[in-house]
Amino acid sequence: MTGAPHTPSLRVEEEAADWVARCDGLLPGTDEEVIAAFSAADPAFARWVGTSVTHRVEFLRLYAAWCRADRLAALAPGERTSRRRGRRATARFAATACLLLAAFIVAFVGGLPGEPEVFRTTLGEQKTVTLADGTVVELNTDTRLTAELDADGRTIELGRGEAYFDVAHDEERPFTVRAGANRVTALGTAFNVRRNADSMKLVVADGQVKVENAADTARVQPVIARKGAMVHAGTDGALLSMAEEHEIAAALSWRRGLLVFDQMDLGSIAAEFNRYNRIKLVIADRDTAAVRIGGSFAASEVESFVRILEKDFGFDVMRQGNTFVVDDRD
Amino acid sequence: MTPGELDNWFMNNVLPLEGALMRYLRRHWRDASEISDLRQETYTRIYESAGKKLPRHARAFTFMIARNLIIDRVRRARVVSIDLVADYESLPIPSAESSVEKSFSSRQELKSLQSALDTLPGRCREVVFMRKIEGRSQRETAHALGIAESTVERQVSKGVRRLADVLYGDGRGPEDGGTSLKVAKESNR
Repeated sequence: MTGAPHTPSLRVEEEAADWVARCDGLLPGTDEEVIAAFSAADPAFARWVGTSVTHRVEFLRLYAAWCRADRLAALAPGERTSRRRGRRATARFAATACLLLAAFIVAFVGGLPGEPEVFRTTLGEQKTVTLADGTVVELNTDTRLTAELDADGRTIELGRGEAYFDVAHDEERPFTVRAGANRVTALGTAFNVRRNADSMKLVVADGQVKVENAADTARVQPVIARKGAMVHAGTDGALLSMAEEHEIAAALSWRRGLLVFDQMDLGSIAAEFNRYNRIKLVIADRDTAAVRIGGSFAASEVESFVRILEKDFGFDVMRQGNTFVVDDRD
Repeated sequence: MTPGELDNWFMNNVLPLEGALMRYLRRHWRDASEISDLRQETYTRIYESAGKKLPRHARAFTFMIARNLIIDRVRRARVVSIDLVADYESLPIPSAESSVEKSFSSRQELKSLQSALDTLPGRCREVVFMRKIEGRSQRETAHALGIAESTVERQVSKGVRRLADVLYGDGRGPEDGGTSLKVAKESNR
């Protein structure tokens, strides 16, 4: 941008960037109500951001970008063991499996190949981890998974919850996710798996995967699901449908901390929120639960959602201990 | 809606559209130097309007605002260059299908972030590396590099703008199916 004319928007952008940097120094990791918090801490900022809406939106724009860059942390030495950069090279050495190389790997990577690693998130927590082969896994709320990578293959056991997999290409080692009796094998890049008590929901974001039921391969045929496919797999079989782009985006919106509902019934919406929050939503009766609403909401902000239900959608909401009880006004 | 809730709505529903918005603006406004003014003004109008009444469909609303903004500017310009906007009265609003959901691939986003990091000038890169990858605080970063905290801030300020351009897909990626006229027009002032 050197040499370009200095337009008013660039000046605002520069100032906003300076303020983002100041905020990050003063109140690092502030997500909620950042402008309110920062304004309270720094009156000069309060004056600047109050000057015009343009200042405010540019600040939000850059602040959101700075927060998204947190994803870079996935490049750091990994979650449970200290693994180095250059993971892909290390993985290929492991595949050729020479004793000398195995010793080299043990020394370098700090663990034997094939040792399962466990990853967990608590209620409302989300976490991104990078596996030894370069695969990036995003864990959603209340999730538990085990990753076992060795010379012959890469296996993930999804014990509970939901995760998005961006699979590193490795023709020699198939990547398989097990969710109950269902198996998802990656033939290409990126997909999302959600495990429910006795079923699995899969969304393929890129490439293609094979879905099969390990419990009864004789009766149930494997299914190849390509980009844009949604698969519901139960104990009896799998149902594949091709989803529209906005449906895929909605299914994956949790990765941005959002829940996206397209005219979904309030009962299901409440259940979704409850996956993420200690404060639970309770719907008063069947009629209220059947009401359909739509929108995008931050998963962790139950209180904001409840306020929207009250003010914008006209519901009655009553706080009772650790729950919000929602009732349709008529 | 409280200001904080409106901020969240804006960040969650409008900012993700920036890539598509920038492509739209570049396609329909030939003066490249004014594109970020247009973007900022679009956001300002959206925010002000949403504060009064939240739009039901953020995407359609955003592009409607952008379109009206372009039309306003064309009308206000004293000398309307034929070049400026081809046929502003029939400016299309992009349909839902024409967007490319860039955030599908987390590895791709990581790669983009990583290459953005690599393009940062030396000190700036070091600072962003320490803050984001190593997770050090501002003070720890300043100590580690032997510089003042205010210098760290300055480098973060530089870095965040570059990261923002990459993350919001400033509309110039190779997957952008836009017109090839863009580059030619930039030098045509």
